Amino acid sequence: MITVEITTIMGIKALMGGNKDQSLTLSDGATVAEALDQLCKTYGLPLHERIFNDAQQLNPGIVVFVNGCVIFALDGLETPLQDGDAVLIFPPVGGG
Amino acid sequence: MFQGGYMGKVLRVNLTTKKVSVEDLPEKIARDYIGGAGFGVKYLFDEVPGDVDSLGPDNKLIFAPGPLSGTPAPCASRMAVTTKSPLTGAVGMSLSGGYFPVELKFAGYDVLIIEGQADTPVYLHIRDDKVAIKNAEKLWGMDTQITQSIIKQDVNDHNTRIACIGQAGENLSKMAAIINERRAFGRKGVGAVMGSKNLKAIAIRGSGQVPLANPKAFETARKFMLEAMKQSPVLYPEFSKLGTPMVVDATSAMGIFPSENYRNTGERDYSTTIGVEASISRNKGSEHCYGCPVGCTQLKLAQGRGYEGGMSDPEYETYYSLGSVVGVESVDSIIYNDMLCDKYGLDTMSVGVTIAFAMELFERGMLTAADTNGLDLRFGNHQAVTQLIEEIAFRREGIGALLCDGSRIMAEKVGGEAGDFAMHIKGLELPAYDPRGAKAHGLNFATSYTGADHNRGYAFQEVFGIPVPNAYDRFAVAGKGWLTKWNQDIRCATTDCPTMCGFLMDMAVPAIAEQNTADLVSSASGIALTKEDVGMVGERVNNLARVFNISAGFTRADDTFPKRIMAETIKEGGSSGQRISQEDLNLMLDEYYEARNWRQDGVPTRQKLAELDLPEAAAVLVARGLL
Ligand code: SF4
Repeated sequence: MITVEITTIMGIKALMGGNKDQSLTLSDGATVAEALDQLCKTYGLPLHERIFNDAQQLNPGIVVFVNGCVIFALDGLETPLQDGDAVLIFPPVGGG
Repeated sequence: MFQGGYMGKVLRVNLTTKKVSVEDLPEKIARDYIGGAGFGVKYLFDEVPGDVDSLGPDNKLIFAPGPLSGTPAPCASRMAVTTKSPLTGAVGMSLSGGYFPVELKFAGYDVLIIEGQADTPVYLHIRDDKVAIKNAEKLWGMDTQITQSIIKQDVNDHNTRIACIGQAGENLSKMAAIINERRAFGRKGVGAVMGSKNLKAIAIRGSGQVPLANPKAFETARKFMLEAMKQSPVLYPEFSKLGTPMVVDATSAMGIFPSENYRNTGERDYSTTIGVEASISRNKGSEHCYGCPVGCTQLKLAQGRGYEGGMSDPEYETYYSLGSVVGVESVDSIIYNDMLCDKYGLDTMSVGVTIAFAMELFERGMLTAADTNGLDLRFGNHQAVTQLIEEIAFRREGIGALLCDGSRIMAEKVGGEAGDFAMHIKGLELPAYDPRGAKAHGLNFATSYTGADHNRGYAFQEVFGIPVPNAYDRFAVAGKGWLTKWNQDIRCATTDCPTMCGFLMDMAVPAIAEQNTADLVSSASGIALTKEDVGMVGERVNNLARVFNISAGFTRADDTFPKRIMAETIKEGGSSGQRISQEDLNLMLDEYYEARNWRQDGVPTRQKLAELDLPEAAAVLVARGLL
């Protein structure tokens, strides 16, 4: 088993019971998709609908970083996770 | 003769001779530079030598909206002011929105050039073709809000739009801004240039309309843009409801929200105290720029002892500059101090970062209570920040005079090792992103023609994870030279020149920004531009500005970071372990210059300048023995 650290903000945080940071235990070799699936199982349909479209791809503007690197620059949802990885899940953000 | 978009006229006002003249806008300039920052850089390059005294009569202030300003294109009420910056010595270009920008178009002009120096305070009053230089002696000493309301009474027209300086500009603070309504041409000390010319304000009322060359094609392009805005995952409802303050939460989680003069970025979570939840609790409504359906500006009312009644609209950058970088965790103090900066006409960003620098020196014992007029300048002392804003605005003896020209000059005045803690690039204080955790964003700060300026080449790939044109690892060094060039050219061509709000471009049409600009500008103006032409405008402006800066004395050595960014590693948070070594910087710069087809000393090649049709830039380099 591996444990990863999940951090999220704003609207997604609200859909995860207001938890900004939480640990998630996954099976060895789990991917980002599996981590998100597990979170959706815990927090239910509203979170699932916020994150995934009907094709089980990320909704536009949802961004996931693993150890700081956006998953689009890795293997997307298939990016494998290691024990201790930091996973950041963002709702659409812009401005600055 | 222009068919639309452009009014075809340049208004020139010489404050020394009091001569007012109107010239035709050459079509070649419109085609090659589009407008806004492009016009500013072109006129600055042609008319102001690089070695001119920024605060002398030979410097100029060039105000230019774009061809889309005043048309029904959404979010296009933007204007650039371009000058030689007294803060940096480089091109100083600052953009503002609101209602002032379109009014110049309605009055019949694409460009307003202010030159010379009045011997007593004046303000400029433009009503279509009636242009008057009026006595402003009674306004001198007044803040920006009172100035605007008195001028409206003076000209007996409450719909007159005004841009003015406050006391900071009068006192030639190199951090002085030009304020219009509650918005600002904030950075690079443009307000000091206005102050040096004894020009208190510019008041404009226009009665014209901006014609459209091809209304049908324009309407198609506009509808496309509005639809893309609706489809944007960010604009509605998030951005229109929360505005830029939401970025505090994002950059905090990424570990790039700078803290306490960058000495402990990532070690404290500011999102819990000054993040979007805390700041939204102070919301009283939102404000729109002219023609903007988004209305991202969030008006906030401060609460609590000492800050009651403070009303303003701090943006993301201000939660950093008057918040985290000075160690302050009170939204009320940020709202109040933001209001003070607007009132006195100061750039919140440079002011906050310069105060953070002073705080670090104070905590290190390099400044003492004797230097600070007795103020306890430890990080987190928000009352001291309030006090310092006043000291700076009025250039008060002691600490006010020490801080009021920004970090670089302050470092020179303090001497010794002080400069090691001054967070600026080319004299411009850093924006709210620690470059160690977002390398292309950082490389843009190091190479932007205006100094450490996030808006000249915003790396949304790194900060928001948008995979356009590709996805990037924000910590990686390789590939960032090419990306920075791409970001700078596209930002310049699609937002700074046409002129259009950058938020809109990033959030609605990032992947097709050049085509979108080409469609809107071509149909508005009748000048047929392809997306390749648009891209080339961005490159042309960046090259011409680079040559201006070379003629002002800048070299590759100035494309760098503050010492702390290169020497220290981020210790905690989402960017833990990151720094930018000298080797990293060299690699990124080499790649960036190569992508630009510049020599490795940072000088554009003859071939590149020829390709961009910039013989005037080549001539300047030849004259300096650089080509
Ligand atoms: S999005 Fe905000 S800054 Fe941009 S034009 Fe609209 S109100 Fe102005």
